[in-house]
Amino acid sequence: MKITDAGIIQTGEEELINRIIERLDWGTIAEILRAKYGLTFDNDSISYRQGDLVAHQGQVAYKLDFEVKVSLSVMVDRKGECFDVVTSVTQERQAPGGQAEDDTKPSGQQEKIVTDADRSAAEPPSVVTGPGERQAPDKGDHPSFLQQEIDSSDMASRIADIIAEINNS
Amino acid sequence: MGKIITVVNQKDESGKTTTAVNLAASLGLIEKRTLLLDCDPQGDATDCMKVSVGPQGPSLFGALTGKNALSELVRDTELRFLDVIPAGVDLFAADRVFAGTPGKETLIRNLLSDVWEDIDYIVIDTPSSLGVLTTAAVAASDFIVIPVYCEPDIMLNLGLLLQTVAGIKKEFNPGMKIAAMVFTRCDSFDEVYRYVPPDWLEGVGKNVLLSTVAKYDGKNVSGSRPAAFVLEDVMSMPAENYLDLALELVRT
Repeated sequence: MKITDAGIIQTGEEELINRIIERLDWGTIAEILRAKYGLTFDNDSISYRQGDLVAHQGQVAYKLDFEVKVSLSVMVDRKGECFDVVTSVTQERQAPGGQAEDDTKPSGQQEKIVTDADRSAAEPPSVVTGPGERQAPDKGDHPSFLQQEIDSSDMASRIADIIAEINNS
Repeated sequence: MGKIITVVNQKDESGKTTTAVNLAASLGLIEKRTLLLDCDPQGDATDCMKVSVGPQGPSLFGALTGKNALSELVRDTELRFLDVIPAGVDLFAADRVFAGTPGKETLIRNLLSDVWEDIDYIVIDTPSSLGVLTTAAVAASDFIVIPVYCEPDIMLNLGLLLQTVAGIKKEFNPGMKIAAMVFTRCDSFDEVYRYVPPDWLEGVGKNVLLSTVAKYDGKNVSGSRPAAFVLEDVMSMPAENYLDLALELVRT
């Protein structure tokens, strides 16, 4: 039972999304990408792909897909094994006063890329002790490091706490 | 009373066996009576010590099942102060055999009381898992050494390992401590900083010894890992790094 013109809805949605895109704060987006993934880009390397209305926590939200070209260095050793993928982001992660330790390391400071794929390994753990014996994870022992949403700096902080607790208790 | 040092990381290729073998050999070289206990069914530590077990030969599994006394299994190595208890392929069955055994966590601790006489250090190599053998080894330890190969999932793996270790400590071995974190195949801490923030590492270093072991760039050791650099090319950088680590641990 059609009660209105689908074209109007479609046109309205497209206009809405176009308006949102026009007003995006690319400086902030660039900063998020840089801080979260170590990626930098310039305006010429961005192209809009599509936009959708989606549901987020029970509310309407807007999913805007872009394609961004990024510069990466893929590090391969002489055996052909990839040992790193780095960007040229100049951030604070390098050693104080550190310098490139071998010819394979690009000049400048580097930051590792942490992507959702890196984190996605992660299913809730179970401890296998033998065939047919799969124990449910102990909430107190294992779970937090296998949760997808955990922030890497939070994880580092927790690890440091566990080490201190093990060695000082 | 000697000390038990277990080299542990559930991650394959983290450098466990290389670390265990070279640490044990380093301790042997500085004339500490050392026993290398190979708890990894792969038997690479046993191979590194040039000890042959064979398909039916007595190995650690015999002691775990009560077939052999552990002291019967002790084998000489080319170093006067270093002996080894070998692993055989039968050890692959340990997880299945001991899964339902009450007290499986203290199996290794109980066994080691049989060989303590005159031993300064027992170094245990563990498999790449957090199963029965690893749990029992950690539960028997005075110290653990964690070899870490720098890679993207470093924090996730460390977190899982340390929470497991903390749980074993709490339940079975309250005196156990982390002696060292060793970044393997890593020429300097600059490589580590690609994966972990320097200030984080500095904080961790207040509680555990941190060291790096350089990549091997010589020709005296075969390309396959693991390798006993301390025995085969003592002048190499990895050998020097492991000797330094052993000296630090002795001072601890």
